[in-house]
Amino acid sequence: MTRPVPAQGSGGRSEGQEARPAADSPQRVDPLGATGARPLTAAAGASAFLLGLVATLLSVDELTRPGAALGAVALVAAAGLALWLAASPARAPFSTGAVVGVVVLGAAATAASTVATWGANVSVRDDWVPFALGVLVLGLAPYRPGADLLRAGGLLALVVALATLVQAPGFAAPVPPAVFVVVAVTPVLALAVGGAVFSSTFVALVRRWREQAQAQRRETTSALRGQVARSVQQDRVTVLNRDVVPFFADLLRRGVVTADDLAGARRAGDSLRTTLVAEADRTWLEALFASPLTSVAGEVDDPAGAAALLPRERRTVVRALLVALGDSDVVDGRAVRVAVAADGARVDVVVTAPVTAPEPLVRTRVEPWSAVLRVVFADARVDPAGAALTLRFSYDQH
Amino acid sequence: MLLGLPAHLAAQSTARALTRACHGIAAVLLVSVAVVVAMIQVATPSLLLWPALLAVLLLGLLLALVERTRTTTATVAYLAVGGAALYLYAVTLLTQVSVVEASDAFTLALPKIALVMVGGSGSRGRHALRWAASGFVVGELVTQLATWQTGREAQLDVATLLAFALVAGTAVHAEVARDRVRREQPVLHRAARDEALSALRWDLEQEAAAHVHDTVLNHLAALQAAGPGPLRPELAAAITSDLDDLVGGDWLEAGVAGGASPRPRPVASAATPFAAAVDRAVAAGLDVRVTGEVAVVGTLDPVRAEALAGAVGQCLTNVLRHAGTGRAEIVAYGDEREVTVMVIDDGVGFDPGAVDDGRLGLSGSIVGRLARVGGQAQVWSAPGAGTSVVLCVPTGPVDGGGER
Repeated sequence: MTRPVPAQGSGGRSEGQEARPAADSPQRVDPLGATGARPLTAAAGASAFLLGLVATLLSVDELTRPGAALGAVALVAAAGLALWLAASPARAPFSTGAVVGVVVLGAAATAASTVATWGANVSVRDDWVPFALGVLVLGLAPYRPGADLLRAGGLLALVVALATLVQAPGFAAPVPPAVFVVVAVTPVLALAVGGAVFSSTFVALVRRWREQAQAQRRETTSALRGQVARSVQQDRVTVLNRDVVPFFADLLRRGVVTADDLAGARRAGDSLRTTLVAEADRTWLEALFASPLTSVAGEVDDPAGAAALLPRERRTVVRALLVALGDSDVVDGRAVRVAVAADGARVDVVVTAPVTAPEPLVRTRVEPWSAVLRVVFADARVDPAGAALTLRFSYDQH
Repeated sequence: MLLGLPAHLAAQSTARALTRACHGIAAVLLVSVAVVVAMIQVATPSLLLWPALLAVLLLGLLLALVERTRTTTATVAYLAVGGAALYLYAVTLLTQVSVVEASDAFTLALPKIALVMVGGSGSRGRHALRWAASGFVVGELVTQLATWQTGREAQLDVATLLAFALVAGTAVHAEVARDRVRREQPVLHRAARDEALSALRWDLEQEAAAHVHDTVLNHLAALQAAGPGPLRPELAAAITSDLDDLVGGDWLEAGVAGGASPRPRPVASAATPFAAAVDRAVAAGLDVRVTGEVAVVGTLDPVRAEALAGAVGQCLTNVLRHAGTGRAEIVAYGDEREVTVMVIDDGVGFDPGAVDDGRLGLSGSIVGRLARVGGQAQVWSAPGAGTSVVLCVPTGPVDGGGER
């Protein structure tokens, strides 16, 4: 089997290449951690809704339009729901569209609440909407970059400020209207800033750790270099002892080249060349399946050797996923099938593994992997239904 | 790299990020309360509000101290001195501002929440919980005392209570959830290590393959080219030397360590590996003309110099074997970033897209060898039009590999 030679080597590719420094979010740098934060996201959504519900029920005699008040509570509930749904590992990474959705629903809730108490709102102090909005923005913290939280918080604070200004003439306290505005926007701004600080601090800490881990790994690797070199050399010497050493030894002893020797030289050369070509053509994926050190086994269908085009970064994740499938108790790790198909500029990968456990259990086990895979491959799809677990993703050839 | 943090570091990092987030919230609250007090002061200059502003300033300074030092002392100081400042602040507002008539007034709640948001010096969730509870108790005690002394109304402060619940809930969750999902994390980190090792092994295997190609396959080809008859003494010597070295010596390790040339060559007496490669081709009967800035090749580090020399040697071998010409030209030039060497012949040429037999030499001994040190090779050729091979090697530090 021969494969086209890549035009040039992929030498010098370093681990940092995948990083998007400007837009790193906690979810992007630590997808598994973000999966763990989801209950907190649910709590944030539920708290915002409960806060609205309780505050509305307690101030029912202040309402001039109860329908609008219920609308405000419903809008906040919808924002909380959108937050929770978008934070699902199956939808990772958290989309910008969902952030916009939360902001728009939050702004609409502010408007509805203003209408609900129009003409009867005597104190800005007991308005619940700014608190609910702050909690919703805070709920974005594990999934979005700090700058996004500041933008969302800033926009919502602006809406709250406008809503406060139009109501200011009705407030009872004898203070300048600007004081009402500050009072109203403080909960939104404070919680948004808190969330933004969390997001950016976490990302910075992960980055710092990552650099240290990389340096450490480089050291370990170079320390092991000698050992690996000896093992590789031993493999090569074994092949040489089998294929060419007896031939050369015989030739040197006789000191004369015969016609048979020429045929022998061609045979030995062909055999050696075939071995070298086969090894040079073997991708990391085939090597992984052939390795006695991992329990994953099955079939790799990659006629074009396109697995070689997957950058090192993302390779780590796919490797880890396959190793995990090999050790998994919900799929048959000895019958994993990986199909890699190059189609124009894209490479499509389909991983299938026969399921050996009930679907809900498979779903639970696969959830963290789904999150990681989706952060690395935007189009990753994980399907745990049916007789086989199927994972699909693709990447560009470059 | 998208591995995230290992479990123990994740808990620490989350706790640290939560602490800073709390400090961020506290800072916004203090700024907000200072703005409100200042605006009331401007609107009603007769009020005596500067002690309240002073107290807020003091709280802000202490908060900065806690954030900077993250020590228990600073945290205790924030709570103790901050509690006293809060008392001064509460008494000032309760006596001076008529709207502030109960202990749960907005302007009183903000600095109280700032005390709850102390975050603390610990890296664990339960420490944060303890400090937040202390802040809550201190804040409530101080404001209730001030309310009682000024004869105002004592009220349950729901906002501060909710703020405490927020901090407590987050801290407890961080503590409880830290091991739940991280079961999968070790697999990711192991995979990263395996990936690095596998890349290393791949590099070494290619290195070894290139080496075997340059020695054993070249000898087999030389035998076939020479035809039947007595074995030429220099070929016999080269075979003996290479076999001894391949089977007996530590050639691969010596080669990758960037040390001496992996095997002794009868003509390897030249000053650099590059010169040695050229000398070998000349000894084999090729007329080689070297022009350009040959000295730049000497500026490469030993590993890259060895790789470039190996690639040049293979190019010259290809000229001897396939080009049907006895002449080759080498042009070297470079700058501070890159050294480029062109090997040109006016021989029969070939179609680079159709090569298969010579592919191993081209991909392994030339392209692959340079890729492993971060360089690249390009081949221009067409049947009847000669061949040019451009070899580029960067001069920076060696990094990364080229595993398929």
